[in-house]
Formats: sequence, structure tokens, C-alpha cells
Amino acid sequence: MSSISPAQRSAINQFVAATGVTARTATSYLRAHSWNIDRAVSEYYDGSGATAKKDSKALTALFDKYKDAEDPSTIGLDGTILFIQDDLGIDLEDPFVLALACKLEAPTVGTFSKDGFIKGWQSLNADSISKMQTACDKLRVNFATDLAFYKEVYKFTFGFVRPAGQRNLPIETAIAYWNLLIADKFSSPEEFKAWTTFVEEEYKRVISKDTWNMLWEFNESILKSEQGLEAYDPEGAWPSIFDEFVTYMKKIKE
Amino acid sequence: MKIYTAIYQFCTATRPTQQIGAPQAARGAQLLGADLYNNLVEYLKRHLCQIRIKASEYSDESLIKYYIRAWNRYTTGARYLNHIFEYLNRHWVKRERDEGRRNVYDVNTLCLVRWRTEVFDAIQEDLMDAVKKLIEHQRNGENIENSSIKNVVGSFVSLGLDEHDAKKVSLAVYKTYFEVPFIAATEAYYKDESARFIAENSVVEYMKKAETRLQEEAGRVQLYLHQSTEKVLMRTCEAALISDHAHLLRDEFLKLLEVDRQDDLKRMFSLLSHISDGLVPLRVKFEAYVRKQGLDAIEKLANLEGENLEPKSYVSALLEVYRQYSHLVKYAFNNDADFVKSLDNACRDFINRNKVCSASPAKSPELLARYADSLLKKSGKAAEDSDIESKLSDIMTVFKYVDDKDVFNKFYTRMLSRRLVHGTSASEDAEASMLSKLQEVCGTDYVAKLQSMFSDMRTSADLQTEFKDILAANVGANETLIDFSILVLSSGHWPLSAVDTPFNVPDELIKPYERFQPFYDQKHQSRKLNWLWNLSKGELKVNYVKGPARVGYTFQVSTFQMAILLPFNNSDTYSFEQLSQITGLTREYLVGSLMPLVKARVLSLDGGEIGDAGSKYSLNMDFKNKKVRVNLNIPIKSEHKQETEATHKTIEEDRKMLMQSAIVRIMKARKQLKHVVLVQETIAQIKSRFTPKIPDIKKSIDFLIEKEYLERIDGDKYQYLA
Repeated sequence: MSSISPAQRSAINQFVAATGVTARTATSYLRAHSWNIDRAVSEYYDGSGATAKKDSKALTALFDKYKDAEDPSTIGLDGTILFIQDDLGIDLEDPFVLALACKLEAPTVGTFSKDGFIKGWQSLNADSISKMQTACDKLRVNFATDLAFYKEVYKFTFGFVRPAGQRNLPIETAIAYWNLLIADKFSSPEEFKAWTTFVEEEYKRVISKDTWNMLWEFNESILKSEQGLEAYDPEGAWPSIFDEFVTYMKKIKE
Repeated sequence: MKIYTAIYQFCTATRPTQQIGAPQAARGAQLLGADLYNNLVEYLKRHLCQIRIKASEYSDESLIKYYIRAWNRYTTGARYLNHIFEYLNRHWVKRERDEGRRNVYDVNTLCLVRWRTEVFDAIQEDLMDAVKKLIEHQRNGENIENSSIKNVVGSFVSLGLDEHDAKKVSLAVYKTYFEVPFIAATEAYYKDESARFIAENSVVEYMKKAETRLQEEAGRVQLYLHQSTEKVLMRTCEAALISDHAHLLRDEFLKLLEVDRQDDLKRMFSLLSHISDGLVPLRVKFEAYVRKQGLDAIEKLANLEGENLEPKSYVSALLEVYRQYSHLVKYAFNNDADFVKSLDNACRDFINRNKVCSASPAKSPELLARYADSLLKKSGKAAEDSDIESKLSDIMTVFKYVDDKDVFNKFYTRMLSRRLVHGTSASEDAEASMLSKLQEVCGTDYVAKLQSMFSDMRTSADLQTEFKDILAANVGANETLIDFSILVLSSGHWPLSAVDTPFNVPDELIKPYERFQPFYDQKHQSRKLNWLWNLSKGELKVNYVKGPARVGYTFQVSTFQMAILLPFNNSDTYSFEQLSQITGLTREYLVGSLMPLVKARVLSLDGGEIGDAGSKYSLNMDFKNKKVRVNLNIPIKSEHKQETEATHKTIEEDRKMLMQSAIVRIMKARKQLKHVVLVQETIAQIKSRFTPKIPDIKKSIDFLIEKEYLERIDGDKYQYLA
């Protein structure tokens, strides 16, 4: 509290004057909206603020049901299975689990943090299993139709499935999740096959985050473009794995 | 004077009435002046008519002569008239002109105006024909009177009268009636002549002719033309003589280069430099030609010497081509900046991308460094200092063109370390001079490591002295000291490393080793001393056999060899296994050290090849050699090749580091940068060391992103992560 600037102090006063809440509540709303008073106030009146407290109580109770015995601030593997598979009724192999994990800011496979869990469900307006199931159905539609969200999930997946303490993804893991996430978004099944074959047989190195992210762009802006590989500029900002892949593709075509 | 007075009186006759101020009176005075003026005009008309009629009797040269004569006489007369009518000029004419009557002139001008209308207009065409004919005669080599043309020109210039201001000289008449026909005639003349000449003569002859012609015409302006004609005349001549035949000249360029006709090349350069863009095609040809000469010279050398290419002959072949064309540029092309650039381009090309470098582009700097080593190393024949100095400068000449300066540095460092460690450097001055030359071209960074090698040597010498003093004070009276010297060098500055083999220090050498180690540890507690036995050497005095002049031999051997030979004090024969056990050396180094000993017949080999199980080595009691000092410390052949390979490998590593650190430096300063800009700036930063390839830069960027020094934002932009 000590570090409140005069400008922020005046924002708090305005907020209090507009809503009649305590200075403390005003501060937390303003903090959450980077001191943008308009957004903070409109958030407050949207009502989500009023229910937030209630939500969070119900959610905490729900969280406690699944929490890990050893580390009570997280949900462990057993809790995850109980929660996702048994209570929500979602198959753990379903790619949608990744979308949910992304929404709940899960740090890694089989783990949810309390913070991400509560914030995530709050943003989905769900504080009971039945509400959560409804929210999941909505989210599933979103996942299938909103490409930007899909891409967000794709990018999230790298960190989510990365082995603990490592920077990169082992080839098998990378290919497994590419199969799950990008195979049917690829320019063509043949080119996807060529990519995985290239990674397995030619490249043979671990997959970096940059490569993971840029594969999405490579697929969208090169492979799916009219000129295909001809559109590729080796002097452009592509990681060099794509140089090698393009050379490999051209060799195969010959 | 009398006439002047008469005119004065005539003009002032009505003055009294004028003073009364009646307007008619003023008019009267005016009329009086006008009468006089008109009579003068009439008189001139009559006079000039006669001249004109007379002129028509003459033609050609005599016309010119007559014209000049008449002109001179007339202008002199006009000047007198002007004086006589001065009063009229001053008052009546002035007033008339002030009132805006532009067709009234002062008397002198009036004379010239009348001349122009009465005489000049009528005869100028004939006159010009005569003048043109005369000049043509002169161009054809006949003698003419320059002064007559000069006078005609003078007359034309004088007739250029400015309607508004009589005092101003206008060249309109000269330009229209003289210059225009003259230039047309000149153009026609040279068009015709050059076409004829070039059809009958060689291009070389033609160039000489054209050069002379241009000089003549420039001289002509000085002789009798008006200065303002120079520009247009020269342009006309250049167009007719050079531009029209430029392609023929250029076609001849390569032939002249091939036969090295420097004077003709110089002439061609100077002729074509007159016309705009005349030299561009020459430069292109020159660059290609020099490049080819360089490539051919190296290819010839490569075919001749093959694998065993001598660094010296390689460098001199490069230099020879460079010198020849650098001299040509200086002599024939006037050190023209663009030609110098073409030469540089060509040299850079054939020095970095010739046949010798085709396998490995790093070959050029490597050979150059080897050549430098051969100059700086002690050799049989002592070279003159000045000689070495000039040869080192030659190296720098080539060095400036070398792309991969980092490769040169690597090899140079390696060879310098060998010179210093083995004490084979010929001259400290020469070493220092080379260093300062490199610094001059590449900066302090480039030579920092080399310089610290020299300072290491000095520090080490001090250390050695200190150690010796302490040793002398502490040694027991009946102990025999072996002569021991040591170099302590910091591992970061030297491209030296211990070899991968255990080694048992022979008992004879263990004492200095055991003394020095604590001495150093005590002095520098945080430092670690690594003993590079593979680089150590020593001398053994031989007593078991007498050399020439009954003196015992001295064997110069490596420390490994010493460890092999010293046990022979106890026994005459050892098996390979025994030696291996005593010395502790791995097979590779034991065989390598034995090889020169067996070859020089210090040891006799029994039972197979060197290194075979059970092979035996015994001391050769009948050893003979012409020299008293026998050098047995000969490096294994394959070592050289390995070293070269190792050097190339470290170069690759260094380059990666250099690129990464450049990228980090740039990003640290700029925080965010587009990919393309980052690549360009990286190239700019390190091209003084080597020319990085874009894929390699990209790999470095990949690496830095992975190591989280950089982060990708917006696809083609990077952000520096502190």
C-alpha cells in the first residue's frame, strides 16, 4: 500500500466517489485494471465484481476437494483425474483438455495451481460442477471455431507439456502434440508427414520454443500460401530449422 | 583642333536663344545637331559603299587582307572622328539617347554600326569562307599568317554592339557569324578526317593522332580565337575525335592490357576521360582482366606445386599481379579513384577465391600467416633488416584484401607461440614491427592476445631470474645442478595445451620440477601451474661414443626423448613395453618420440617395427654424425596436419562466439530490432574479421533465443532480455 502515487490516489478517490465502496476494494479493482479507472468502474458495475467473493468461496471449497495432500496449493495427478475425468466427464486424451488447461493456467501436465484454478473459473463464470460443465461446452465451441484461441492453446502447450527443468521439447513429445494439435490444421497431410519425418530423421535435435511457435506461422504464411515453399525467404527471420526443412523438401521434390 | 572648334561653334551658335528658354530655340539646337549627325551618316555611307565595291574585287586570302587593311584604316579614322565630334557626343547625342532614341549613337559607335550594315553584312559570308579555308590549310599542315585571322576575329568581336549600352561588349556577332560556321566546319573536318584515318591506321596510331589534334585545337584558341570559343570547340573536337570512335578505342583496351602497352593505355585513359562516362566500360574490363590474371597466376602455381605449395611462392604470385596493375593504375590511369577501386575489387576476389582456396576458403590467410612465420623465424641465412621490413609490408598489402582476417590471426598466433616457446624468433624488432602493422589495420583488439604473449615472455624471464637467485642461495654444496629454464605463460593468451598422455618425469629432472612448483605456488597462490611436457626439450651430453674431433656429441631432444634415453645409463637394451612402463607415455607419443631416435641410429631396433610388441631398442655404440650437436627433436609429421585441422576447428568456434557476442552487443544497445536490421548490423560489426554467412547468423540467433538472451516478438522482431 505504501507505493501509491498521487495519480493513483486520485483514481482511488474517484472510484470511491463513483461506487461508494471502501478505498481498499477500489484499490484492488484499480490494480487489476492497471489503474484504468473507466475499465475498473465498468468491471465493478458489470456485477462480476459483486459475485467474485462468493464465487471464490465456492471455488476454494471445490479446489480443496481435489487438492494434493502433500502440496495443498495445487491439484496433483490424482485430483486431476478425479476432477477432469470423473466429475467433468472429459476424456483426458481429448485435446480439449489442453484448452481447459490453458484457460486455468495450469503450469504442467497433471497439475493445477490454486490461483489459476480460481481465476480461470471466475473468468468462465462457473463455481459449481454443473456450471463448469456448461462453461466447458461453450469453451469447446470456442476452441473449435476461434482460430486465435486455438493458436493461444497451441503456444501454451509447449510450456505445458515440457519436461520439468528443461528448455526444449524431446522430439517424440513434440511430434505427439503436433499430431494432436496441428496435424489437421496443416497445409496438407503429406506436408505434415514430411515435417515430422524431417524432424525425426534429419533434424534429430530437441525442439525449441521458438521453433514450436514459428511452426504455426510457417504453416500459415508459407505452406498455406499460394507459392508454397517458393514464398520462403531464407534471409527472413525464420529459425534455421526451417532453412533446413525447405532444403529437405526441395531435395525430395527433385 | 580647328574642326573641333568649328563643331563647337556650330552647336553653340544658338546658345543665346536657348538661354532665353524658349522651347523652339531648344529645338533649333537639336535640329542643328541632327543636321550635322545626318550629314555624317551620309558621308559614312558613301565612304563605305566604296569599300564594299572594292572588296568585291577580292576573294579568299586577298579578301581577308583587304578587309583587315580597310578595317584598320576605318577604325583608326573612326577614332579620330570620335574625338573631333566629342562635343556633339557629349551633348546632342547624349541628350538624344537620354530621351530614348536608340538609333542615335556616339560617333565611334555610329562608324561601327555603319560598317556593319554597309560592309560586313554584304561580305561576311565570303570573308568567313576565306577564313575557314585558311584554317583548313593550317590544319592540313600549311603555314598561315595567324595574325590575319586574329585581326578578323578582333573585328568580329568589336562589331558586337550592345544596343542598350555602347560600352558593353557583346559577342553576339562573333558567335553568330564566326563561331557557328567555324565550329560546323571543324566538326565536318574532323568527322571526315578521323573516319579516314582510323580506316587506314591502327587504333594506337589513331589515339596519337587524336591526342595531337586536341592539343592543336587547344593551341588554336590561344593563337587567334576568342577565349569563349574554347569550350565549344573542345567539345566538338572531342565528340568527333573520341566519342564517335569510343567503342573502337574500348575494343582495343584488352589487347593493350595484354601486351602491357602502358603509354598507349595512358593515352586511351586520357582521351576517354574527356567524354562523360567514357571510362566506365574500361573500368569494368580492367577489373575483370585483373581478376582473371590473378586467378590464372594462382591456378598455374597450384598446378605446378600441387599439395606442397610454398607459402612464399603463393604470396609472391599474388603480389606480382597486384604490383603490376597497381603500377599501371598509378602510371597510366593517374591513380583515378574509381580505377583504384576496381583494382581493389579484383584483388580481393582473386586473393580470397582462387584455386588454392577452392577447397577451403581459409587457405589464403593460412598461407599468408605461414609466409610471415617463415620471415620471422630464425633461418640459415640472415636477412637484412630492411629487406624483412619491406617483405612484412608486402604481407600487409595482401593482408588488407584478406576477408578472413580471423583465420590469419589464428595461424599467426599459433606460429608466434611456437617461435617464442622454442626461441626461434629471428628479431624482436621485426616481431614488433609486424604487430604494429597489424594493429594499424585491424585495431587494438586484434593484436591484444599477441601483445600479451610478448608481455608473458618478459614476466616469465623475470620470474626465472628470481628463481635462479633463490636456488643459488639454497642449493647444497655437493649437488650438481642441471641447467634449467622455464616459461610460465598464462593459458588464456596462448594456443598451447598439454597432450593427453601420462608422463613419468625422469629422476634426473625431478629436482628442478619439485623446486619450482612450491616456489611458484607460494608466489601465486590462486594460480595453477600446468606442465606442458610435450613442448619441453633439453640437451644430453653423450659420453659413450666420441664424435668428430674426439668431442662428445650433444643430442638435442624433447623431454619425452630424454625420458627414453636416460634409462640407457643403466642398461643397453629395453623392450617397447619396458620403455612404456618407465616413461608412462601412451603408445602414440612413445612411438613418435622413438621414431627420430631410431631413424638417426641413436637406437638400434630389433624385432619388428617401432612400437611392435616385443620390439627391442638398444644403444648404438657406433653412432656417427658429421655434426657435434645433433637435433633429434623432430616433430611427428602428422602433428602438423592435425594442428591445422585443430586450428580450423577453433576458428569455427571462435566465429560462433564472435557472432553471438556481436548480436548480444547490438541487441543490448537497441533493445528491440527487426531481423533484417539485426543481420545487417551483425555483418557490419564483424566483417573486419570475417564475412559471416546469413545462415550462421541465424543459427546464432536461434541459439540466443534458446538461451533466453533474446525473445521473438511479432514474428520478425527480437527483444533483448536482460
